Amino acid sequence: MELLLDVQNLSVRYRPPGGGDVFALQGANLQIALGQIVGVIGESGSGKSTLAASVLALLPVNGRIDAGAVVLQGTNLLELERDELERVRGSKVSLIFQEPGVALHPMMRVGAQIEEVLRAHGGQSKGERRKTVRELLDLIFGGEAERIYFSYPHQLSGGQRQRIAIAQAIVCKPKLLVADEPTASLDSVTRREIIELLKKLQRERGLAILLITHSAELLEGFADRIVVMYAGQIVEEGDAKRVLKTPRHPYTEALLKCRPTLRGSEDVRKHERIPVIAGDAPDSSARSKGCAFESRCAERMKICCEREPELFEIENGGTVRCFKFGS
Amino acid sequence: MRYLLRRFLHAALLLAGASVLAFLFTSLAPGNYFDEMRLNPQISSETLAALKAHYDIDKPFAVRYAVWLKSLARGEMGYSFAYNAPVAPLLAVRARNTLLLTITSTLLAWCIALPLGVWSARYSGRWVDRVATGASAFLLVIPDIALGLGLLIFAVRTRWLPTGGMVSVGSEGMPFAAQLWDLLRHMILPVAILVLGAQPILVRHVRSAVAEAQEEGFVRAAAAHGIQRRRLLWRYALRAAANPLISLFGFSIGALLSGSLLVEVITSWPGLGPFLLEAILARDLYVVIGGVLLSTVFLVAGNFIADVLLFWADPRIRTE
Amino acid sequence: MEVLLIAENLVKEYAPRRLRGADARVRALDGVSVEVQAGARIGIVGASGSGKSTLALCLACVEKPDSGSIRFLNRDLTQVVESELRGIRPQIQLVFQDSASAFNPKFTVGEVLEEPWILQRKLNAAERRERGADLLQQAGLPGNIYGRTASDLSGGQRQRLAIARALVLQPKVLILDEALSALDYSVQAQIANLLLDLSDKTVPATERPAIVLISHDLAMAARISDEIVVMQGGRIVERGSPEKIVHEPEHAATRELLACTIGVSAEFNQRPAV
Repeated sequence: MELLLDVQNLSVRYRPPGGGDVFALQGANLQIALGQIVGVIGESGSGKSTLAASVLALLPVNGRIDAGAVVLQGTNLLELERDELERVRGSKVSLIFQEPGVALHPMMRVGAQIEEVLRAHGGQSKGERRKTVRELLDLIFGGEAERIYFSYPHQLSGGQRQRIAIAQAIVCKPKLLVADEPTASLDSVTRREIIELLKKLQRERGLAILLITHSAELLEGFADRIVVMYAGQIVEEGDAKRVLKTPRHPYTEALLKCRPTLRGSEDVRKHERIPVIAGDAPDSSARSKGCAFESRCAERMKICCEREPELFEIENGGTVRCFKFGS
Repeated sequence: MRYLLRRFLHAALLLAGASVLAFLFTSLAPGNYFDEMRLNPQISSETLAALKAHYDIDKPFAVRYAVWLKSLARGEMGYSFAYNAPVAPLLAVRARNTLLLTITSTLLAWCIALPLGVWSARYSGRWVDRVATGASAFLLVIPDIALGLGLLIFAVRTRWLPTGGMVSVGSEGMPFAAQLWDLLRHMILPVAILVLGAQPILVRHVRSAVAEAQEEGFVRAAAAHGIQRRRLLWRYALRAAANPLISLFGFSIGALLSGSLLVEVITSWPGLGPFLLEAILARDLYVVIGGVLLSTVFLVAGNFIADVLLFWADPRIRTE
Repeated sequence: MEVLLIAENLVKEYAPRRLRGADARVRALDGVSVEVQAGARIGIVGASGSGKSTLALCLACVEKPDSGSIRFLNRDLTQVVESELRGIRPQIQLVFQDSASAFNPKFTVGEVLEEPWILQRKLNAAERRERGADLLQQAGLPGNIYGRTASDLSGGQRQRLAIARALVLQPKVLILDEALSALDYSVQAQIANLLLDLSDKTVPATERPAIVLISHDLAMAARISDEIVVMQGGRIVERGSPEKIVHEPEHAATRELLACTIGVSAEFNQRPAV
């Protein structure tokens, strides 16, 4: 399988002006093949958004790359100059954010905003750009495309805005789309529509997708592989079905249990308290000696607070960062 | 559209109200033009009484206001006691002189402040920004009068610029090009004072509006799509910064007639400011009222223009 | 069971920011009737635009319906004067999705909690502090955050604070408008458990609020509520117990919501609760 994206041992730190470095990402390794869909599950503070931003080398002002590389089809993006990066972003790899309302310019018509991306990557005349965008909107919106082309963001619903953001991201036909919580601010029905759109794009354009989310169920039936993050580290990785069905890492297990699901003949289990993960999300400025999840883990052992576990391989090509599976 | 109509009606009502108030307050001020004359023993009290009756000085407020309104309709805006002529043409000439100065300096000030502010925001924290901010702060601290007098002294000492007035003596006889050049030379000093005085506030506002816009999510998202930095700055950030800047521009327009009094006095520029000052001291009633009203028109128009521009620039206001 | 709140035939229209050519006015509520009994747990679910948030705002007396009546303990809230309404509002409390904007970011946790008491001129400083600490504990927040600024808290902590503040004046009805939606799932679980604890049968009646949860998340609503109300296009299209809604949905909107919520397939193996 041809490798599209190879994140190698990436470590990122934030230095806020008030002091107190935050180690947002620690030694992350991630590989995405052409046309593959990889889901990253993580909660606040897990480093998932930092990972997403790093893939496009888009860190905020106080972010620093401590180590590692982001290799996109042979080129390490972290070593590129600014203008080279501008050429790569939007045309080879794209990013969409959580809040589509915030990601669109309030004073420009959405059609024009999509054309801006085309214009930035050159080559087409104004007329050609308009045609390309209209066709893309037809694909995404069908009958309403005409009206939507001339609309302003505040005239559109949340789902429509996110679709515009997706249009902007794919108009230059990138190979990889990074989606950082694209459906978090949308309701469940719209959420599904967006996922269906992404599925369609993957099918028809061979688009590889890196989907970052805190909702595991979003990835079900959609992702090929799943990566689970906690406190800046990857704690589990493997085939999507396997991870969702039989999670190995205690955190993954506990996280998947937190979600009240409704399944077929299962009882709704009304009023039963939902099993929670004890304790609070980790403070990412602290670095402990042992496993980051140890203090909240139901299965912790003595070795867990002495050493930090590495990623141990398990059957079927997955990895787990837990002493239950190696030492 | 309805929004604009409403704003226009608003403006019209404001003007009407302003005219009443102007009338009221000037009438309430003690004394009138003819008080000076009373002191003059050569003018008999009958003449005085006749003059007063002629000018309706002692009639009730409502009557005088009505008469004035009629005069307004005729395009006269009342009568100047001092100049013995209708007010309108007098004000027109002076206003034209003032506008010459203020329009030039406002345009120049904005043309300098916009790029300066944008670059300051772009290079926020670096030397370009620090120099610009420091210079702004320095100018802000200096009172306008000190600035004006300082530049005046500079002009006097170097003899590069005329030190006052609008035109040189005997300029009417010169060919047109020479007249124009003469006028421009006279404008340099007052315009410079006005522009330097306005810079700090404008630059600061532009800088902060653009800096804030740069932090917005849509700029970050556009950067993620590979849109070039230059375009992000001018087409995305500046455009988003338009709202507060348009309001500021409205103020600039509003101050076109009223903002240059000090400069006109210092440089002896025959504008509206000194003329009004003179009229106030002499109790030349209708000149004062006319001048106040004219200034109010500009103020209100400035606001209205800002509303129109906002309507045009911000689609969110348009579709409300 | 005492009936606290009865809304009958509520209608509310808005003129939205139009997509070119779209309809002029939108009926956010089109004849909605709902009843809240003391100690009840109701989940109001629906997609975006179904009117559920508008319903929450009307029930909480933040918005006034164009027509219809809302009776709280037999007083018609749409007819009542503002001064009377001020006395009623503390009894119906609202918690929003984004509590970050609900607090003055400069206030400390203590100030946020004590504000309602100060405004109502009840209790002295020592009493307020004591009650405040109690509430924090009830809401599952550590006591040592009393002096911290509201903006220092995490999302989950802020939501707990918002719930604690809502409980300050011992409301009879607690309405939560998508209050869980923006949180991580592990935190959502904790808050859901908190809501279940607050409204548990063992809590004395004076301290137990009725809970109205507005959500697009059917799974969470089903877990917490006794009764589910499904809304679409400003109308209530189906009502019933969670079991019935989940296993025997009748209306198409309910079925669609169900389909979008059951994300994990039947193969997903969830171990029983410990």
